[in-house]
Amino acid sequence: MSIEVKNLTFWYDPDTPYSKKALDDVSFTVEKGEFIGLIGHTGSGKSTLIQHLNGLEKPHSGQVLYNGVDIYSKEGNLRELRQKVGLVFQYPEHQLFEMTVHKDVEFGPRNMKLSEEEIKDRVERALNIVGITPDRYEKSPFDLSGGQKRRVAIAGVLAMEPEYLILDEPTAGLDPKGRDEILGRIKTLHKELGIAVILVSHSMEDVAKYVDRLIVLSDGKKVFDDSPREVFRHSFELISIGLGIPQVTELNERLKEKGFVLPETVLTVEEMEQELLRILKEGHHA
Amino acid sequence: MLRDITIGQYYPSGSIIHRLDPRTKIIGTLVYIIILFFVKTFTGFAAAILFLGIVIKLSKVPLKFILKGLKAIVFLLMFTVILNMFLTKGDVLVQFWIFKITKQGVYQALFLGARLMLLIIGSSMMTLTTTPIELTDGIERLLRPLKKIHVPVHEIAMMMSIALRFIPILLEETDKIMRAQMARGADFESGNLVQRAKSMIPILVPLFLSAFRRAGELATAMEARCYRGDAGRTRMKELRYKRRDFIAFLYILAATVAIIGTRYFPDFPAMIRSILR
Repeated sequence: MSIEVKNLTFWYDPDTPYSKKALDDVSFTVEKGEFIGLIGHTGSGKSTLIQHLNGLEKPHSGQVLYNGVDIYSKEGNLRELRQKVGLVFQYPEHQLFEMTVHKDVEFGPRNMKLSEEEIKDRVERALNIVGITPDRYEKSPFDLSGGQKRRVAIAGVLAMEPEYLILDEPTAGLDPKGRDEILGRIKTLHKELGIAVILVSHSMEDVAKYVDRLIVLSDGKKVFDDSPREVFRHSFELISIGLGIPQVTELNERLKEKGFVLPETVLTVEEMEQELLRILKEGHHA
Repeated sequence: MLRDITIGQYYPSGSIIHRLDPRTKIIGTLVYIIILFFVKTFTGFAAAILFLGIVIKLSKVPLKFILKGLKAIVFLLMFTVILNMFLTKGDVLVQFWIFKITKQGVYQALFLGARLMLLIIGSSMMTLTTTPIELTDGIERLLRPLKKIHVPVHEIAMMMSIALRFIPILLEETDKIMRAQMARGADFESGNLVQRAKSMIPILVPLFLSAFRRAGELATAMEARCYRGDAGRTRMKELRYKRRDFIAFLYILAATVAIIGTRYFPDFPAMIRSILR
């Protein structure tokens, strides 16, 4: 069970003076149950790439295979694919349209032509996962706060019970509390239900904290595909393509330059705290 | 999905035509449209094509790109040509069952078809070489005399430029919303008319909301920058006629005289016929 991207190339506005290569020979495989981060500078092709994974864009060359089947071949079924590979767009709250929260989340499962009972079950499960309480089910989604609207929109995709969940900058424009809330729930979702998650993000801190594998895009090309620890060792290359490294990782680098004995890379504040306490206890400066 | 719409598109190439004052291009296009209706001979059309051809050549816009714009009116064009061919009364050339093709009909159809194509190509030359902002600037300046009779020229121009600016934004927004709903299993293509109309609701509601939200944000941003309409407003880029504009006006004048002048010349087919006789 996997999504396999093979030598994918895609152009924006082909045959016009504005034509631009958006993706250039990108290949990778997403296995079931993985938690992947996808980072890249604005315009690096992240959003275009994820739209290929559920067949919303068609590559100009290369293939996307879902469980070994080319999604654009006769055997490929785009409707089924879009249900199995859930895609949450940037600012998903902008796609809400129904009179009530419950009805809006129903949209996906209803399109799958499930029974009324199954629809109700799924809607309630999805809303429960994102932490929307039953007293809000009959409210208008437009009366909710920004963070709540976004969680309802994410529930709209979750209610289709996908095997893969792709989120395009799910925390953009949220305050730190809303951000941690959403990322925490996504992490739980991954752990408890075994859903594979692809998290598109601008925040090095977020990906360092949550993902197991990091894919870095620059100018439509895949430049890194490794564990965050390995990727963040290349701070120079990351900065040269307009990205950066998490602040704690940078602190670690700077302290190492000053001669402190520290690990190769540090990813989280907690990890750094341990290291600093160790150095303070040892109390010597090499 | 909606990226293929090309009507009113701008094609950047930085040519001399692009650098002309927008007023020159607006007046030139208007004159060109008017004289096209005076043309009634083959020679006249040949002259019009020649003058338009020179402008196209100078603009450095590929001919392929210009002709793509004609695709939108192919149906209208065929309809007009065929109707004119069959419905014009006159000397019968071919007749089968109740259909008659007359000599006058063929002429009429050819002229109308040519006129329509030249109209579309000519006016798309203006939009291809002028940005919407320049265009509305030009219109505002040209309509300025109307202010004397209290026509809110500046406000009209401002509304036009905002509307033009929002077309690509709303198209992009529609595209994005469609994709988002498709990702939730929406289907816009199957079902009967009522079902299809209903399937538009998940697009239209978010689209209207976003249009209102954007309008509100824009209004706030304008107020935050103390926008108070026309009175006392200066501009960063004043429109000024340059030498190339005077040359362009001379060109327009020459084209007008030449094209209208062909009316007083004998037509080519007539000339050839008289020689052969």
